[in-house]
Amino acid sequence: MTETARSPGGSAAPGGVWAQVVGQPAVVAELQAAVADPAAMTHAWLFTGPPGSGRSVAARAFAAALQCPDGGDGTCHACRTVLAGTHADVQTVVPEGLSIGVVEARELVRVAGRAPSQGRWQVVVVEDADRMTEQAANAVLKMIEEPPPRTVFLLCAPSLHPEDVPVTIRSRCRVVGLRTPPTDAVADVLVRRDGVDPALAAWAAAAAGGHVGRARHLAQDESARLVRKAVLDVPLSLVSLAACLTAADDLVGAAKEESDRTTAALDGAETEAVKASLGVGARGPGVAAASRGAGQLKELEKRQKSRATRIGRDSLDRALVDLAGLYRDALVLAAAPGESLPLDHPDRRADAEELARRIGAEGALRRIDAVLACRTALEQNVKPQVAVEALTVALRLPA
Amino acid sequence: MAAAPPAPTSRLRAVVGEEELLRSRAVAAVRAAVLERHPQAELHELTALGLPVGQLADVLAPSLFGEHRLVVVAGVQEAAGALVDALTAYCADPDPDLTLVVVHHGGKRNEALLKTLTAAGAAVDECPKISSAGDRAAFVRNEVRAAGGRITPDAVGALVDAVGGDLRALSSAATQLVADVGGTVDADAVARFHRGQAEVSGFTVAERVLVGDRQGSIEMLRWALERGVAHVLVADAIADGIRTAARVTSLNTSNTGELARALKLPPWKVKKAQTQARGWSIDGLQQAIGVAAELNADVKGVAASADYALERAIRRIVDIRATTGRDSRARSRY
Repeated sequence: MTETARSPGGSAAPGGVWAQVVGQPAVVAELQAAVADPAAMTHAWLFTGPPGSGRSVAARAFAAALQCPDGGDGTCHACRTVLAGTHADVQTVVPEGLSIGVVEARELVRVAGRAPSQGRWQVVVVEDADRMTEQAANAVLKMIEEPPPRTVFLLCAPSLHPEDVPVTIRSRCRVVGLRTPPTDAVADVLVRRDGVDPALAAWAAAAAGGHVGRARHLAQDESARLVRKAVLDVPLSLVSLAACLTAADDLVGAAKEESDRTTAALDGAETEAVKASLGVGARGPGVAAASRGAGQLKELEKRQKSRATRIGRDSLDRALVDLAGLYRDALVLAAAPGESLPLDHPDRRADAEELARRIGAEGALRRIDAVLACRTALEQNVKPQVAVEALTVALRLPA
Repeated sequence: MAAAPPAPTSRLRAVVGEEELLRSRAVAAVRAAVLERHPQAELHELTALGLPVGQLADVLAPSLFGEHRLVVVAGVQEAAGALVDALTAYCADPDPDLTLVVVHHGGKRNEALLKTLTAAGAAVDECPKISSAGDRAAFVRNEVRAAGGRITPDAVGALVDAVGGDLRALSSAATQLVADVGGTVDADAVARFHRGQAEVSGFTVAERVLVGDRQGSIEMLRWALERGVAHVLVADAIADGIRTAARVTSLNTSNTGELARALKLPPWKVKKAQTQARGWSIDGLQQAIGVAAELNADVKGVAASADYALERAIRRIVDIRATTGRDSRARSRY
């Protein structure tokens, strides 16, 4: 989820700012109408859609179109700054940790109360609004219901069901539902925007199952392809209890490694920056006063830990989604062998067929259930090691 | 256990170790010996932390009336540098009319002072922490013998279970039992005065669960919860026990060293897991792993009552072991 196309760089192609929104003609039409016609505009929007469908990209394009005097031509100063994330009147909240807390939400309310300084709207974009805690959601309720006349909220939530967002928030927003972009549209944008080789782009788009950011990651990063391969090799390797336990170790270890790698790069620099601003290690008068900043460091450590947990969890979650996809393919092949239905992992067709032969439709369905149960368990804070071990044991192939 | 009476030449003593009871006994023994020899002796007991050097110099200086003096400096591991220097300087030329006892609580700080003391011919009383079960039992037996009684082996076990690892509590319980029972202390006598389980952790519960002891595991669980052990810790210990047993069983070897290397676990843990894995089948372990994962979610807020979730999971795991186990008939008595 974190690798969603969040930073649409580059200039706009035909279609102005809307060119970034991949495979969503209905949504684009609706948003364009809102920009063009004040009567079709409203004060709060909720973008929902499956992971990777480009919710935040759509929200940002919408923000750009709102700020642009020409309704989003993609070339003017306003469009460029919004798309680059530097426009003064577009505030973006990206939760790095596990949730958006009440403190952040209050700050959000304060910002939303300002009048636009140069643009036409004061736009507040909240990515992953489903991560707002109940308290945080309650804190922004009043503001979302009746914001100042030139303020507009754009909330994003990774879900097919708007129900995942608290009903109190949802009822105050206009819901925009994005669909999974078609594979060729994703491949097309990879070729056009990122200059990926067409054959690789087609493969990546199909392997990512309509997840734009994931497809780009797979197309550009060799190690991402290796990780995916390791995950998809798991189902056929589960022939004994020892193999199950090893596979669980590998999955959890890979997630931890990714989290460690990502956070190691960030944590050190952040900690140094805070220490420097507190004057740690400095000499001279005022050093004693600086040592009182230990609370800030502790606070930072807490945030970093929360972020590390989230990165690890997201990485594990991606692996689980890939696994579920492979079992889904096996289910499709077992239930409808003659028909050529699209597969989640077309490049692993042979594996899916082998799985279908060994576990049948019912077995595949049970294993999909097990994967989904494991995702739920991880959300419920079960130790990853314990949850994944239970999963791989449940996935074990019959003798 | 009692310190040897100070030899006339031993005017310096060091009492070193983490066990508070043994330290205070050693100091008391020295005090008693000094008083026996010199009934008019002056006694000075000082705490090293924050002690001004001047005050130490004062008590170390010769007395006006020439009486023998006993100076105890407690907690020198916390002493300031100047005080350590003063003590070190004194060691170079001890006063024959003075017994100096330096009490150190163990650890690295101010260790050099101890070395100086021993180099100057100080007698050392070692008071190490008693951590193994065998040492603790030996301590109890000694206490009972010192109080003039005898104790049966099962009574020793019951007393340690019920009172816990605190030596002072064990000592007073042992002395009290001898006084009450008079003579031989047996398990019945212990049970009459002491009941329950003083130290229960998640691992105690997990051990009983893994060997399939239904009654024992539920009993330990209730004790653990009663003692305030967190639900999550018990659940984690159970999951960990099952996982390790599964690891040990799933590999095709029973060589402890090989397993320890393959699983990256310490050999004692592998050995313990091997014992616990006896009687489990692969199928049973797989089911138990599932139960442990559910339990982990339950204790983290999914179940309405974590108490109930734990007890239910334990019963389920014991049932799984009994029905799928390798020798399910032999264990029907549980």
